[in-house]
Amino acid sequence: MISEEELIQRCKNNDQSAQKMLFEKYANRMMAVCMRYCKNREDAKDLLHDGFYKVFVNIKKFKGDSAIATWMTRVFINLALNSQRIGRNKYDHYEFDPAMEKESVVAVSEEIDTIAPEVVLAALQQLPDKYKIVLNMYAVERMSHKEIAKKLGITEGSSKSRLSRGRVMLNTLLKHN
Amino acid sequence: MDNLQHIDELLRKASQAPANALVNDADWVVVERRLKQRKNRIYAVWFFLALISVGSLGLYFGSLPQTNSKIPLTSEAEINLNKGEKSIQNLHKSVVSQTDIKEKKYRIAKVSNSGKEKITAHTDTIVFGTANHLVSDKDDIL
Repeated sequence: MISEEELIQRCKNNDQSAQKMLFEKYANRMMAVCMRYCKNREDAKDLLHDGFYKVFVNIKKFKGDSAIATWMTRVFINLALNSQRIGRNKYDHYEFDPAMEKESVVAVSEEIDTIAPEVVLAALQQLPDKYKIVLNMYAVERMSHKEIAKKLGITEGSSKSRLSRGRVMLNTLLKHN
Repeated sequence: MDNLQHIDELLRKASQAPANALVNDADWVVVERRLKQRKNRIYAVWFFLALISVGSLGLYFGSLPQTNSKIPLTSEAEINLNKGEKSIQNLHKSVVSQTDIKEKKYRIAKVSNSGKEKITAHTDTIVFGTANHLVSDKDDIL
């Protein structure tokens, strides 16, 4: 069994078999990242292809300061954010009903363990991008509001309000599902 | 809204589930094809750079003036060689000039009577192929 360091080194030397091994090892995990940042499966697949292409082209820049999975996730997130910035991803027109928001203040915390991950991700995909991205970056990637604001070019206040609104919307969607 | 922080936990748990069923071999084929296309693009760029470099060098050297005959001779052997070439050329010229029907030759000859060198001239009919002429009694003393 080849070690991860050796695998990365071989990828840096453009070894095709090593590239395939790295893809097979992390494709599922990165696909999950893509699904969280994209509207649908097709967009997620495009992001997966673009992301791995970028990973292999830029792998020489990976210094080993963090785990390769962490670095790859950052590459994928940056790519997703860039593609949304240049308007490649279409914003959906999910209309949020204020009445539903009021109702959803009653949390679904009691049922938290019973909700399947696919249901959560499906609900997440229904959120408008600006809420979904902040929710992802804060909750999953554990980035601070300062980092999110810097990455998205918004204020920290905007980041906080988007997170709050995103939580409410997701909670509402889960409750109604 | 703080009571909705459990949503974060829910998302975290959901994100840990890998999307196993969604990735297949076709995805690797797409990535591999794009990597190959990139490699080909790089080769093409290097090929054209090399071609342009070679072409530029060829044009540069081609545009230089042909200065070989103007280079001063340096070694004695080269000077002798050059002299030899010139004498052959002169001989050739003299042979050609001697094909004229008549010509007047001027030469320096030692006149036995006075013992002084004088310029003599003679008129002679040159037969093609006879290059050597001796000073004869017919020579006119100038």
